[in-house]
Amino acid sequence: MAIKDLLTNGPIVVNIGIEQFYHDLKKQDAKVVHVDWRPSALKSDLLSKLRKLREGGAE
Amino acid sequence: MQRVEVVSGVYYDSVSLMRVAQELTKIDGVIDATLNMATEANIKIMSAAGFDLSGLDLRPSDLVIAVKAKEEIIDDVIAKAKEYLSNPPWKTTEISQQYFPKSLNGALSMLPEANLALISIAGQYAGDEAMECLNKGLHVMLYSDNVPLAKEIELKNMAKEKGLLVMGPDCGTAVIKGIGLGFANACPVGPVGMVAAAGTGLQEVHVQLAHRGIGVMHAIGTGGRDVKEAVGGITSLMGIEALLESDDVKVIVMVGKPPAPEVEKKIFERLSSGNKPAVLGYIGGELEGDRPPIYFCKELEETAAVAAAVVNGTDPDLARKDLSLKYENLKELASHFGKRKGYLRGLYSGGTLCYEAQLIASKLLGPIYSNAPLDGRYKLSDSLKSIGNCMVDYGEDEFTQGRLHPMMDSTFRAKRMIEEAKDDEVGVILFDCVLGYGCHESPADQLASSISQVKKQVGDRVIFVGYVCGVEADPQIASRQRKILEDVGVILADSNAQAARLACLLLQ
Amino acid sequence: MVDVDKANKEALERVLSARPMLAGMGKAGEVIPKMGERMLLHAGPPIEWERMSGPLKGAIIGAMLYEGWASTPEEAEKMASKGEIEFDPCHHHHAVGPMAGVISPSMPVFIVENKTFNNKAYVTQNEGLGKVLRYGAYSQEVIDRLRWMEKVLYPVLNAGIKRAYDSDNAIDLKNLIAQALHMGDELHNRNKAATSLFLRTLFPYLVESSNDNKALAEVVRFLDSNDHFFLNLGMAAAKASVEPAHGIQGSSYVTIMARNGTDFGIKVSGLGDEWFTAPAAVPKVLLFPGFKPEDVNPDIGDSAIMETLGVGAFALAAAPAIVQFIGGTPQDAVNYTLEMYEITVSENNMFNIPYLNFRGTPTGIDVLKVAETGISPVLDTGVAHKQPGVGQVGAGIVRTPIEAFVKAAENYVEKYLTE
Repeated sequence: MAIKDLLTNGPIVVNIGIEQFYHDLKKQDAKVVHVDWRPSALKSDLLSKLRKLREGGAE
Repeated sequence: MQRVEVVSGVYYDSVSLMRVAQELTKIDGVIDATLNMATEANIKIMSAAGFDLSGLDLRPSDLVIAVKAKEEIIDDVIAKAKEYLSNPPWKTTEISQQYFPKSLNGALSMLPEANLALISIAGQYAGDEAMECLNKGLHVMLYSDNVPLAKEIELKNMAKEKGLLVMGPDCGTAVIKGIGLGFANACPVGPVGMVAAAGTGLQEVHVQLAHRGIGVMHAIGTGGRDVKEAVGGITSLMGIEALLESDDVKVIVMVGKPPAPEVEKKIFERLSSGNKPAVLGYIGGELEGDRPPIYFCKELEETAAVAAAVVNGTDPDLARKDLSLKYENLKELASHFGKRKGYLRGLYSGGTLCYEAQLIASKLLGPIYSNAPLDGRYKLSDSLKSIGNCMVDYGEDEFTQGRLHPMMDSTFRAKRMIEEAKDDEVGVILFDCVLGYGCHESPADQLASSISQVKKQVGDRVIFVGYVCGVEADPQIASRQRKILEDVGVILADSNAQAARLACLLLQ
Repeated sequence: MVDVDKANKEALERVLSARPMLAGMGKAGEVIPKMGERMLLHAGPPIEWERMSGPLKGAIIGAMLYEGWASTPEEAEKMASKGEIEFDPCHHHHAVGPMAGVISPSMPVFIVENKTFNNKAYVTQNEGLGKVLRYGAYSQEVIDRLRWMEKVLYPVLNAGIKRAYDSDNAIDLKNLIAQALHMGDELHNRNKAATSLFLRTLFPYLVESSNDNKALAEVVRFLDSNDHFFLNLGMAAAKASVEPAHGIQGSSYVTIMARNGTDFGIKVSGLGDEWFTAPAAVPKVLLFPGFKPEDVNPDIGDSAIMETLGVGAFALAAAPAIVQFIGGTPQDAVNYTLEMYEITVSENNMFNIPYLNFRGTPTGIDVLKVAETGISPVLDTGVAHKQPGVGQVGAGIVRTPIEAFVKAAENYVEKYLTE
């Protein structure tokens, strides 16, 4: 079960937002990548349509 | 005036030369500067810019430094030009920061084995981003608040179907396999597994366990609304399930406000049918009497003390008795300072710490005003203006719009401390100082400077009572933070509950 | 349900399989398809005279003087504003032009042939630096140079190119680009290595096909003095390579990025002939001495075809010196390339970057990824003075306007995802 793996392996993190959290995880020797996030250029209804397409079309 | 100087037999990249020229034009008194290798084209360009290159026998391998500046500085400028050529002022010696991807997909291409997304962007975007992460098979810790309830329910239902964890929204703290996420303390690992709705509630129990030599392996945050009826405790129950299954966890501890009755029932039933003892710290709850191996606590330190006893195999009731004794002894400490006149003003960065303090103080001093009161009748109309005995939670939304969380920056709270101290109606000021990852590098310094400043004016009329919530291994180093506060005359207690009690006792 | 990944894969494969070869030269009016008699081609999306910026107007005036359609700049301006001249994007004629990119009928052009799909692309000879037509200059010096390029440069080059082509040694432009990338060029702002390689490759054929030593010497000196000569060839090679990828149903692959000094425009493979436009960005770059930010003209030129191909700013990690233009470090150059991987379909199979362990350059801008992530493509470009005839005022990195990509993405969703 996926949660079991998370607890067994420890967190391997994608940090989206506050950069300090990324540095703190690095201090603890965790594997982490920081995302320099910005909002999408699309309006949210278009964005969700697009995301649904990707979900469906993914091979 | 202008000066043209020629340096032979050198080669510089045109871009480097342009950068040097740019730096020179920043100097006061320089009108124009240009550096070029003396190619035919460049000679034309320099002449067109008004530099006199006539009479010079130039080759393409010559470097021309041409400057228009005030006469008195022109020698210096030429010298500076040569200096910049050999030692470019914009060069950094250290390797600059690595690449931060700008999208989730970019991140996953760099770290394909990622299993958790920690999301702390604005609430209006956070929900959709969390959805994307779940779609990619990642567990989610949603630090962000202001995520609509409907979105939370949608996320948690989807996560449940996929067997993924959604910690939050408004989950400020979590610990997975000993690694702290968000605001977390560097406590040791051990046989305890936690499920917590509360941020500083989790931190206080985590820290109090560490002080008792007990480590925590996992602390799963659920967000404040998880145990309400609408959400139905989805994350709490998934967390409990995972902890029951984990070989590393021997004792389960829950911390948070009392759940909705339906949810409480489900939790109790699952734990009862489980094979591990559990300590349920429903802060401010009404449940009386333990049902071993399930124990019920109403305060944070109590939760830690009972859990420590369970881990050690000693009698939890004995642990409670020891705690009561400690609390009794506070009376003696209080008497040293003599009875104080005036109001109690609590200024908190941690929401649950403030909540617990209100629970304790309301029993000892009567109704407590607050921006997040126990009793709605005592809500402050203006959170910036205290009334009577009062406690303010600086982590509430009204204070965090466009401002850093108070655990990351105590400036705003420290200012209030000065105002309160100057008020002659105030007798005791009570505060928390939370340490750990994510927090300010020295909250004690921020608070201490205001405290010492105001003490110069008000002397000992006001007593400052504080609690440092942290451990030695935290980045701020707990003992150092305590010393900074003690040096400015703050009385420090060993737990949030003790600090609240002490503050009240000083006024009784 | 449209399979966008499949469609984009098809588009990418077409681009990666391209083999752009230098096939010959000719006069624009004779070889460029649908080139009208009183027609001037220009860079970027379609635009009317009234909306044109200084450099483009200047280049048009210069071209009209060169052609003899007008005898003074004032006369030229009058004719242009009265609609007596037809203007059309180079891209509508399988052609490309750097900066103002003006092509007039008498101008000699290179003919680049993509052997994989047998399509052709056209581009003029690069004039060099300083006061040149493509920056809007139209003085006698400029016209004289254009005439020299027609009367001396063109015949000499044409003879050499023909000789190479006929002896089965046509100049392989893709090959030169790939080599230049390993030599510090990124093929948009830095073409020094590519120009050198081109001259070296062509040289024996120039010598063998020449019977006028004086002309040959002039031509070689001209090429030697112009570090950007290859840019035009690179652009035509890019155009020839990318054009076959246009017109694939369901594909969100960007096949054109171009600017006319007023507007920025793109075309997308699966979205037909529509241009999606937005106001061109005003570049914030390192300026030459004597120029101020107010002097800068909005972004101009078809040279964004290099980034569309997968080089230029996308290969910045191969040309770290360029990044000094914006006060950055070599790590910044690497970061620009890494960022572009987030909005492209895949990596190139022939253009790669040694510093990134020979990772292929980010290739194939996906307009949906751009709109979704908010990351718009960067360009590495020269910058013109807003007044015609002044010339280049600087160079650096420009961020393309995202609105154009959002428009295209919205169009895509409407066309393919809405029942």
